[in-house]
Amino acid sequence: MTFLTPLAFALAALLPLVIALYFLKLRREEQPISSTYLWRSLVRDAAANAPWQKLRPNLLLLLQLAFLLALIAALARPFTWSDAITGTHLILVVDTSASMSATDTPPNRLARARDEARRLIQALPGSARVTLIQADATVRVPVSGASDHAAVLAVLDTLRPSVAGADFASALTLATAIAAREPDSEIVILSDGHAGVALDSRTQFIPLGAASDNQAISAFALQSEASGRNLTAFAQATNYGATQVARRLALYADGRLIAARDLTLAPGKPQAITIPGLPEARAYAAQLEGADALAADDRAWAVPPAAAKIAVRLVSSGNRFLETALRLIPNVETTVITPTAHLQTPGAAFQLTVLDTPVFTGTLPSGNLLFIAPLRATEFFSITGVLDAPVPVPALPDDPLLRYVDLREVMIQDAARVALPAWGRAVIVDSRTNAPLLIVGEQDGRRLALVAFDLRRSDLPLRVGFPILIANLLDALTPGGATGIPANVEPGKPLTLATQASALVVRAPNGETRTLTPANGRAVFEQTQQLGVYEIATPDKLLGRFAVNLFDADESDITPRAALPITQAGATAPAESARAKNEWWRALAWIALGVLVGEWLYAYRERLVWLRERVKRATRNVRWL
Amino acid sequence: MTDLLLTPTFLAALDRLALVSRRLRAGAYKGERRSPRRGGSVEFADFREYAPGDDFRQIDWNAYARLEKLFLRLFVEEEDATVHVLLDASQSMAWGEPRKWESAQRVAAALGYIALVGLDRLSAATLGAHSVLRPLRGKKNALAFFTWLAERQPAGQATPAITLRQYAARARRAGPLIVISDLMDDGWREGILELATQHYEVTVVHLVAPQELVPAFEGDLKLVDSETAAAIEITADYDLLARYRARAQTWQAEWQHFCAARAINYVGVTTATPFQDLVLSILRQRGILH
Repeated sequence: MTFLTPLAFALAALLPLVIALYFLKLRREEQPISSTYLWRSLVRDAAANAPWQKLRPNLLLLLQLAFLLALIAALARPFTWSDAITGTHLILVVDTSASMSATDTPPNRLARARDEARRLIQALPGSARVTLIQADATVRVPVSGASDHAAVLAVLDTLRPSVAGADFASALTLATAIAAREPDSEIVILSDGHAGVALDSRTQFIPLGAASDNQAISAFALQSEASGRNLTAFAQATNYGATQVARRLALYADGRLIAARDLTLAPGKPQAITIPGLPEARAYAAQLEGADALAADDRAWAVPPAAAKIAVRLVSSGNRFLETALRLIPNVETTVITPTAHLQTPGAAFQLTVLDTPVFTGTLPSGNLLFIAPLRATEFFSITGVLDAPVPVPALPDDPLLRYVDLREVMIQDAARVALPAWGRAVIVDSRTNAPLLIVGEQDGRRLALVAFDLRRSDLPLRVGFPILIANLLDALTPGGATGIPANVEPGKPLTLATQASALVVRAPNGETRTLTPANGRAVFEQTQQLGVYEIATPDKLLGRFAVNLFDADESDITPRAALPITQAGATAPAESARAKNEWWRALAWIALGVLVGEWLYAYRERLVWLRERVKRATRNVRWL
Repeated sequence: MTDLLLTPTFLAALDRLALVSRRLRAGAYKGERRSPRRGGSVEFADFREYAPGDDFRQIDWNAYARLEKLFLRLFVEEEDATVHVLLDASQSMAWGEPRKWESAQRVAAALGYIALVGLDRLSAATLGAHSVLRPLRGKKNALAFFTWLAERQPAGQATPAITLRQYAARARRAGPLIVISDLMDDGWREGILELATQHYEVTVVHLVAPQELVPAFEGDLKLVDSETAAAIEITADYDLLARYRARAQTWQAEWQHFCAARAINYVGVTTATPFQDLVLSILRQRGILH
């Protein structure tokens, strides 16, 4: 409990004054009587029979002191922080990510979030408006600025936990944008805290969840030898709980149990197993048997890699390092053509064209492109100059593209100075000028990458990391490999398919089919909200399969968090002034009033009794009449 | 002074009254009271066989004619009695509306007058403002009695236990004794008990002011005793006043029981009781006057 005007406690100085006045007042009026003979025994009796009656004369003083105390306390305006809403526009951001289906707070966390939201909405004044933002892989706004609270509550009941992670950044950006328009709005996030979120002063976070008891299959993949045979399953289970548990991991091939392993999972530690020599199957599933708080991450699916090879076209006048690096990657078939010959071959036959040529004339081929040391600007980038002896460093720590690639002491003689295009992000930059040296991105469904320096004018190709970097780049530039269908898709994330077919049919794990009509050689499939194996086919031929798995440590780690991590620069912790205060002075004022009335009744009790007798007598007379 | 105490009409009414004495006592003078001695009055009492030395005049010759035996006719001898009037003149008697002292004076005057009219010896004394009246006899002394009574004023503190014991010891002849007091002292009980055991025929006229039974004040007060100036601090709330009223009633009832158990006449009156009612009606009803 805190006080808004603690200065009011200075009024406590009045308390001794009241006591002093009381003692002054207690110089009793003298009343001469014939004899105190009868009074003496009476007062002695009273003192002997009820010791507390000694206090009786002081009751008035006690009441007066109580009144003064209550009044002072009311003037000091005590308050407690409350999670009630003060604004006139409540923006509710409800996390519906996979972790919200955790059953540690029965029935699940989302139900608790709904209860909290219902409580907040019901506590709102009737005129307040509510906006409901649902945050999972995509951000939806089912209710915007509605003042019909009953309708909002009805929509709230339709919210279901998804199997995807939460795109809280977008949800918060949206919420903040709405809040920015209206100064008297307030954002409340209902989440278990497993989301990177920025908070500002008008944002309130209501944490949900009670337990951390969860184990998950954090990785499940299939690997084959170059021949495409001898499939090996790689599975990793992680215990996100606080205690060691024993779970059984079962592996199924097309629904048939083919292997099982008993695992003892230490808290916080992943444990990996490999199961070689898998029988041929269309799809494989791994299942952690038993139950934990979150069921969505106890199953994972994988589809065997496609047997077809990725066709890569290298436009180069001869680059031994690059050719060797490409040849080392399994499932890649490299065609090397000279810079003048490439135009004769349609680009669609290749998944990737590597343009290792300083000057490129003519139309750029379609499909995914990797530019190496261009000297002239193209439609995708512009070159502004030359960087002399740049020092390459990773633009971001832990970039997956640079995994196992050591850039330290890599020498580069010179590089093209490229302005960072809108479609891409810098992966490697010059440590002095921060100019990008490796850019990766996507535009209009095409994967693009640019290496700003000539590999022959650098010692990078001599490094161990070079083939790894090329392999990583190839993975990034040709998602889905030869078929263009990735083996794994994150739940809720759209999948872009390059195709020449007129129609594609996608069959979801629950058997539903959806027909896609490609445009400009691309089709986008968005309904990846179910976990499991999806099939993609043209009307007459199966193209491939992909699995949707919740490999999301943020979602699987369901440990409740009291506060959201602050990720955005400049965001501040919730300011106290924006939190609602529950002021108590009204209650105290009522108490003071009550005490005052009590004191008055006590002081005038004689007359009240007399009045009661009069009334009684009057009613008796009335009865007689 | 007489006018102040008793009106002539009232005195005339008192002339017809007499004090009742349940016991017969031997007196020194012939009065209007029956004496345990058989005497020469006209009221026949008994026969007794003649013995030599008896008065011839009292022989019933008619009986002798019928029975041939000498019998003496015995007659009731009427004598006087000593009526004692003890008046509480402590300061507390000066209190009340009307004042207890005035009522006490009037009751004393009436009873004393009745005694004088009945040819009884009247002995009177006041306690508190201590004073003793020399015994009076005969209606002619009524004025002297009234004058003495009117000159008394309540003052000081009665010490009834001591004073009554001394009075009992000093008075030569026991007889009807009337105590008029508010009895607001523990000593009264002891003193009256002493008188009763000394063969006085005690009548207690317990005189209180109505304000003493039902106090007319409230609030935080310091009650000051008019006799001792001792103070008691009270908060006169409804509860305390109710308990006081109950206490006062119990107190009166206790006195009544105390007196009944010891063959003492008890008359509890307040100063609000009309004086003529008290004397002509209440005292007669209680068998104190006839």
